[in-house]
Amino acid sequence: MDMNASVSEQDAQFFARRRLTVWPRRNLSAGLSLLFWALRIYVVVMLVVVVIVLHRAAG
Amino acid sequence: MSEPPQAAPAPEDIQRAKDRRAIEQRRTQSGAGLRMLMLVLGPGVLVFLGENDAPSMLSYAATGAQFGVGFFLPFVVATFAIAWVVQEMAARVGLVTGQGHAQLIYARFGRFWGGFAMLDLVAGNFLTLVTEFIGIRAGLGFFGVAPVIAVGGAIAVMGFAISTARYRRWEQMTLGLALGNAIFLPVAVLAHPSVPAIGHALLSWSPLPGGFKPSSMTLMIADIGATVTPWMLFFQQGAVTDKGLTLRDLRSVRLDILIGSVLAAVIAIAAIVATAPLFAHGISAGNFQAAQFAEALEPYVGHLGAALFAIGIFEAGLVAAITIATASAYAFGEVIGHAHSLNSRLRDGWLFYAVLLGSAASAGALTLIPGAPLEEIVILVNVVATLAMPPALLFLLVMVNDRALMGSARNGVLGNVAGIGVTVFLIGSGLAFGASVVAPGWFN
Repeated sequence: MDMNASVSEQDAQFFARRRLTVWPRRNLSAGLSLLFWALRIYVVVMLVVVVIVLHRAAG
Repeated sequence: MSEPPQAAPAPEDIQRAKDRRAIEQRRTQSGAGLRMLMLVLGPGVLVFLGENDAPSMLSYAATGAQFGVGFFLPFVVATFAIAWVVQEMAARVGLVTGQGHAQLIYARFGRFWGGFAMLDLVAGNFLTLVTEFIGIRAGLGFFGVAPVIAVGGAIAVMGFAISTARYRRWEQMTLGLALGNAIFLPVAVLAHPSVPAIGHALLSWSPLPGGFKPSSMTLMIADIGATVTPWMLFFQQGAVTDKGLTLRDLRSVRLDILIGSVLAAVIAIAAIVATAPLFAHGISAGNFQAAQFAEALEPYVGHLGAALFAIGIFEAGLVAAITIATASAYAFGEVIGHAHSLNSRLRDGWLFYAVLLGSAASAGALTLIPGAPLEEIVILVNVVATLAMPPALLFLLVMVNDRALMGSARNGVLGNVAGIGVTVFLIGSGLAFGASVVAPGWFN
């Protein structure tokens, strides 16, 4: 690696390690899963509302 | 977590290490505070001035024209306070982990939930990009510039900014452009505002003229979406990571976000004040677009003021197009595992740069289709952003409380009260908006 003189290998290694670290998947509790689903449904319902607004504006 | 035993540094890691070294050298010098802040300053200011984009400035302009300054000035200040809370959490996750928002969502929540987060981001970003190019077209259209030149020129500026393949130069260039957002300040001055009335509005929070009606609910939600949107989380976390910032920089990063939010709030207030004469003279401006605002303002702010307003809309669209396209490119690169840094050499990060320019070019091209009914989405795009925010905030709140990820930098009680409070407020605002559409009779 053609390393710039002002930057040590160790400094660059630190950023490479951070970038390449793989975090394992976490377990979602039932409550958290329910919250995610509720907000997903919320977004879908709200998008329907936006479509209604657009439809009325076009009409 | 699985840490690579001996990772070979990529060119982007070397550039980040250089930026890191410069900050650490500043830190050891006497009177380092302000000079170090100048090095760290960037992501927070850019994200807020980027979010003062064409649809946001038009939303503020419509607010001033329809409701004057009484209710909305303190409301806008409150929304920027909310945005500070949200952006600080996103930045903190980036400082601790050194990874982007999309990358962490995919890692910690899996492909299923990550896919939803990306769907919200990609759809919202593309719609917003379209409105930025509508702003760019309309702003330059005031001066007779042909749409194809306006759109093509904006994409050429974006290409020039990334051609250096260096985050720091890209940031300096984009910051230089973003400070042009202040052009709304002289427009406000030219509107000869009553300073005591502005002071009174900020301190007293007057009731909304006409009460809460469906039209005012839409503008309120649009004004919230003008300060907090999903792309800002992805950009903030990606930018602090790309800049090589770490938890040691937390204080400076918080200041960066504060400076950005204050600057953006002052400019947003200026846009409301600038168009308030339309409200005072009873001119209906509910469906005005950029060029019409500039023309309608001309009797009150003169040709110079109208021209500055038009330039402001162009500038707001251009800076936002750069930052939003960058947020999309960060997220895309993080998810597919390709180089995703503005420090990447063009040959390493070609896909990252292609997404950045390609998303902007396709959105810009859409605005060139003759007769395309795009004007309707300008205000609604901020509404959509507000409605998509609660799930994005839930991802953020879970990550910022994740002991494995954040260690001692995870949220405290105060941070959680603020974060959960903001999420509940956004859900409540969305539901109120929905009710105002489905059952408008409740609001009359």
